[in-house]
Amino acid sequence: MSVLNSWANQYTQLANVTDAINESVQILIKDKQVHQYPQLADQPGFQLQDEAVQEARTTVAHLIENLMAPVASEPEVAYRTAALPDDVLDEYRSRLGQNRTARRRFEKLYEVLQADEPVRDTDKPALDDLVITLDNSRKEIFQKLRQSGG
Amino acid sequence: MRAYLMGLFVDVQGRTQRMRDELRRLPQSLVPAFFMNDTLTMLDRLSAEIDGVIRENAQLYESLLDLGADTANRLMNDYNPGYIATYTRLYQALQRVEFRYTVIVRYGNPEAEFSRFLNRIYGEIGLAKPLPVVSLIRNAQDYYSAHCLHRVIGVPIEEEHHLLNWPDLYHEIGHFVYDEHRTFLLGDGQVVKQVKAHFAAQIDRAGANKKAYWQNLQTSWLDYWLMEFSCDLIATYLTGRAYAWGNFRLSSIIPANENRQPQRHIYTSHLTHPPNEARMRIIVKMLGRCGWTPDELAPLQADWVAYTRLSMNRKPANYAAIVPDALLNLLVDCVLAECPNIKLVGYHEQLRYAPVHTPPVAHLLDMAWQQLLTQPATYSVWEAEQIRLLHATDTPATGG
Repeated sequence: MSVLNSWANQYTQLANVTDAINESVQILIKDKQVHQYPQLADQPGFQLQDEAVQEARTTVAHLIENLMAPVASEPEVAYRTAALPDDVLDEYRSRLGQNRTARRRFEKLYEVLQADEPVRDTDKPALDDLVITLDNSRKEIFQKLRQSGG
Repeated sequence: MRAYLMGLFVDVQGRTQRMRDELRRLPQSLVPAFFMNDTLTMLDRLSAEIDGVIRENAQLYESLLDLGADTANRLMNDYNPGYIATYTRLYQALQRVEFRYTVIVRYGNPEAEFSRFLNRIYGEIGLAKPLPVVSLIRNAQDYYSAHCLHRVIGVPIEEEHHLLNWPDLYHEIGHFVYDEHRTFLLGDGQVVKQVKAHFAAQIDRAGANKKAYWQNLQTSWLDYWLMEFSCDLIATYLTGRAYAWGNFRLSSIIPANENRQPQRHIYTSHLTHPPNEARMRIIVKMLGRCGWTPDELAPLQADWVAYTRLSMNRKPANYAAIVPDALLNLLVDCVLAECPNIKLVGYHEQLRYAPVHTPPVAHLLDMAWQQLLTQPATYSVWEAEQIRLLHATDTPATGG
């Protein structure tokens, strides 16, 4: 019988991060494909600005930093687009804490991003993990929001 | 996969465009203009966004086709997770606008009538805020509801003909007030601090297998119960004793608990709603603080005590720690202190300001309950006459 403000706030917060990550990942994939097939650079939709690629790297790298921080510790860097709701962040961190393979993939992706190199095909599972996990969380919170009248 | 994903976007586009066309074709809708215009803007934006996604996908594929169809298809797969997430975003936007669409297409005379009553109530309680849009799309089982994000108040069907449940409308108005004034209604952090301190002590004291139980209760308090209690208090401040009777009635119609036990929710806690006993307790505290005398409240309290005995709902052993009096008292203090700051006009003040022969709606609701309790045989006739008089004295709703 009420709108639950907390779900609405969480939804907005998560939706902003999800959209920013999704957009950044699309740019990183285009950048990857341009490096694999340089002739694409002249095609519409593949003319990427260096600043846009750099910003995409930073956005994804900061989210990974937050995710890789030990569970129950606050990340030192609070980057606006990586500010996931606490519950979502904790759950994701906890899952990574139990999945060594996924964690290793994120570590490698992070190294690539920090070295300002294009992502590789082997980094795709980590990028997909980010996009799909955030998408699932968004669906869950949206459902709760609707159930509570939002 | 590409054809499937693009098919999903085409489907969303079709639904969006149909709603937009239908709304544009509606002859002279009674719905407030701001709501219609905002909805049409949302539909236009959504439609443009979907167009953009479909166009961008086609362009991307065309660019990749220069590398050969097999390579193009393989590289397009890289974008699938992104398109899935984009579909989620746009589909959720569609669902939100569908809610508004339903409000508009079902908006008719009953909603317009109820809006006029709501407009009068807003004036009497001093709430100088845009009026929410009334929607009777809910059925009687779903009861009153507030959709703050859409500025919509859901009202059960037929409510424009009956008065006894209207105090709950004030509770839903309370949600709009709480949405905006939460910080100071909760004593600028005082209440939250006390709730956390109380439950920290319980969690600390509890055995390992009970810690999660107390943690969940703390979550209920912080995320939901403080809001529900605050809205109860606002409604009590505005409507007085009628709200207590309304809450009593609501307690009587709540179904059995999740395990289908034949007990009523007197002491039972729910994630989103506090036990009815605690709600009645805090309402009575507020009534006392608002100047209602023990004599005025005596019949209510006597019937409530009798009812709780009949309910077969046993008080849990740790009940005093689930809803401690100290937290309820603090919340009453904070909400009562903040209501005048928000310029809300309390029940007794509404009576003082009301024109002669035109009692405020809140007083009419109190009269309705007293009439029902003292002269039930003639209540229906009396109620119908009061509704007729309300129509005769109402003012046009101004909307947003």
